Amino acid sequence: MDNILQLNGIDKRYDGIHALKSIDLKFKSGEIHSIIGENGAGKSTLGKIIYGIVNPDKGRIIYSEKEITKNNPVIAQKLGISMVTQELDLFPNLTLSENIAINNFSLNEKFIVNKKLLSAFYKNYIKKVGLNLPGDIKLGDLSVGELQLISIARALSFKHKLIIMDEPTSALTEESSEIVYNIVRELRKKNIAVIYISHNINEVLALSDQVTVLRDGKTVGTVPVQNLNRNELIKMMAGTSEINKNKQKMINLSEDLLEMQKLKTDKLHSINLKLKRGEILGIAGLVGSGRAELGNTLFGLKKILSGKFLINNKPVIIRNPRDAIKNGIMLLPEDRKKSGLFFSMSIKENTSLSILEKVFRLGFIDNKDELNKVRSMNDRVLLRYNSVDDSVDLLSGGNQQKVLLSKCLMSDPKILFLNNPTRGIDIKSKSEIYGLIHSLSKQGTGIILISSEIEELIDNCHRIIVMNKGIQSDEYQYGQFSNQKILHSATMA
Amino acid sequence: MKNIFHQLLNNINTYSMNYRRYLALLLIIFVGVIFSPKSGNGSIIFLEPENMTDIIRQISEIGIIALGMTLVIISAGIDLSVGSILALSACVVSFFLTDASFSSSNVFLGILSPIIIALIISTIIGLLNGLAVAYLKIQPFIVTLAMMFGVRGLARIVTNNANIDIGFGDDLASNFAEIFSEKYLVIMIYIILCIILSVLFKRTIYGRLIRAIGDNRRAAKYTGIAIEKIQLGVYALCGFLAGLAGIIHAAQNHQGSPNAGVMYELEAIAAVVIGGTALSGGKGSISGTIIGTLIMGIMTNILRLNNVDANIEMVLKSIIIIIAVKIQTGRSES
Repeated sequence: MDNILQLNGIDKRYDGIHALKSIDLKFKSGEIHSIIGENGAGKSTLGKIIYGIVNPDKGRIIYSEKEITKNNPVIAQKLGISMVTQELDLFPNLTLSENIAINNFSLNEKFIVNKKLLSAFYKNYIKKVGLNLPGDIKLGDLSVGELQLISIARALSFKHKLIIMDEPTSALTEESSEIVYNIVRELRKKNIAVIYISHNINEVLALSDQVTVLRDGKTVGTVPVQNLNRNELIKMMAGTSEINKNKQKMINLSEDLLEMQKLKTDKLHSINLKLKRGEILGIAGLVGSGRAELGNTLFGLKKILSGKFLINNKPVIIRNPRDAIKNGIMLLPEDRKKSGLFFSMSIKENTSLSILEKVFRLGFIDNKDELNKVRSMNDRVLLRYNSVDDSVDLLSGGNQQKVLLSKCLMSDPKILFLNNPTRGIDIKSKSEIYGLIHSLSKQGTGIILISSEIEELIDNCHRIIVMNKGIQSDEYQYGQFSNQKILHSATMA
Repeated sequence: MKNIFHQLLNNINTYSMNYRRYLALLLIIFVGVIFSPKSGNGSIIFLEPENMTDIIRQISEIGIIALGMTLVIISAGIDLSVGSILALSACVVSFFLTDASFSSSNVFLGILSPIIIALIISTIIGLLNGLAVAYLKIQPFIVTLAMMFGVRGLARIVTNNANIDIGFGDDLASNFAEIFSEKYLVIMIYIILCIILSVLFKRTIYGRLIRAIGDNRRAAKYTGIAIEKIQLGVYALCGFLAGLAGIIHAAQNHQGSPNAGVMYELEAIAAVVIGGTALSGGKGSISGTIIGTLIMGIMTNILRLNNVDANIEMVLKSIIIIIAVKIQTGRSES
């Protein structure tokens, strides 16, 4: 087999951060080649360089034995390279079918879009990713998981010889992930080269032919998967072989903190839910099961049709996020780019934003006071940064997530709703965030944790509720948790 | 070691960004010196204090409007109604100054109350802009475009479609015109406003929140920021400042004309953009806008000193705006 793609001495710096250091790699057709590494290791940058979104400072890209001197996504697509990016760059104002067909609009050779052709084209590709959505709706109300699958469907519609997937399963349930794995294997059969970027050790071991480990912008090594095991891989990624798996212990929970009584919205049906002080309540469920809706409703982002909230056994009215925050509720949104961070602002400014109005009543910001508060919170969440004045744009995914957490914790919430807090971040940051959740629980914060990874819920929660089509389908007490049972409750028709 | 290196690189970056801000200004001053005509004794007219202060007086109206516009743009909005507000304010102040039934025996009150009325009306118009943008959720461009037409109409109604001349006699109106056309007072007002707005933007919560809602509206909502109230304030302030510019305009031109301030909104936007503020919101600064305004003013001054035809002046302006924006913003987003 010949190398379809060869990278020689690829080097990239972003404003002071050396993202990639002289990378040499080879990729073959008909092979699944995984790139694994912790967040900030340079995985996504590498993918973006191949696809031409980012240009390297140094180095050569040799594709089908020819050097690509000028690269951008248009050129890359013409050469047969496509990519599913982590940012899911879809068009919110186009319909699903238009989104998927966008690069194939020449297919009817007219400037008029042929609706029948479009619809057939759409159905063909949406089926492949296991979704059943009408082609004429817009993206607006879809969940991150669904968007992820739609971008994969779009990438499949390109005529390609090489496809790059950047964390394609990070927002997916295990069920949908399985669909993606099958798609990837299917591509291999068609002799297409797949570059699979991931931080998930299990999927990389199960899926790949070759594994390249990146750490701090350098290749640690490329190893055929049969010569690898879990521990070796962890060692290569982190430099150590131990992960702190701090299993949650059951504690005595007595005080009622939050109660939802017969709560109804357009997507939730009569939710009755109790949360105790210090409890970590897990919410499992597929994308679209109403699990995210639960958080949005609690945080005042969704209109309640009937039912009520009680906090400390007293009814409260929550019409908007401000009401929620006043009542001690804080939400960590799932999508840190769209709903979480302010990318023109520094780490400091992002962190302090949620308490500005509370702390500096007179209107003038006391820089020293702000700095102290931000620093101590950033230390608490173990944020790694050069300067608090750096833009959050420069941080890795894990550290961005910590800034977001730090912002949430600044307002000292009594009830914390975490929607997939460890999505797309490295192992080390993950276990640090778990540690933080446990210590918050010990201090009496009530935590509701949504996660697409059932393992994560089992390891960290005192109780797990499963959502299915807008209702609570099952509830599991500590000690009764099982991966199969939960998955079954989540997928029951 | 690595950290020190990062720190150093960061410092160089911020340094070059700050420096960049002044580069276009220095360049235009340099051009001014070269192309300036010389006076009888061989001195460069452009650099004479008289000329320099003239420039600042000339830019003060656009400059004051641009200060408010900066905040509006950083909040991810735009205000096209400022030129019309300026005209209405100039007309209202002239109307009450010359209205016999309104005149007060007290000179101070007689001058002050028309000013206050004009400022209140301007602020209310700004508030209306803000209400429509924040609560009716209509796009700022459309709201303020509509307001631009409406307020211009109001100005014509107030003056019966004619100019109200002031300051050609020995009355309150001429006292007013005398006071507010005084060069150094106008310059002082402009400088003080620059300082106030700069402090407001950089040092207060309000400024920080304006940036936040312009940067990521959705995240601002999730953070619990009262987006509507901030928008309301920004447009009200912008209206107030346009009204203030209108009062100075009336005094300097000795009249309240309903046709004043046409295209001022676009000149103000140009000054803001030259100053490095992003039209997409979230990014920008008051100091940048001040520099942007100075660049525009100096440019006009150089052309006028050389007696360049007004039409050619417009053509040259367009070229200079593009060059200035390019120098100011440097490498734009890739």
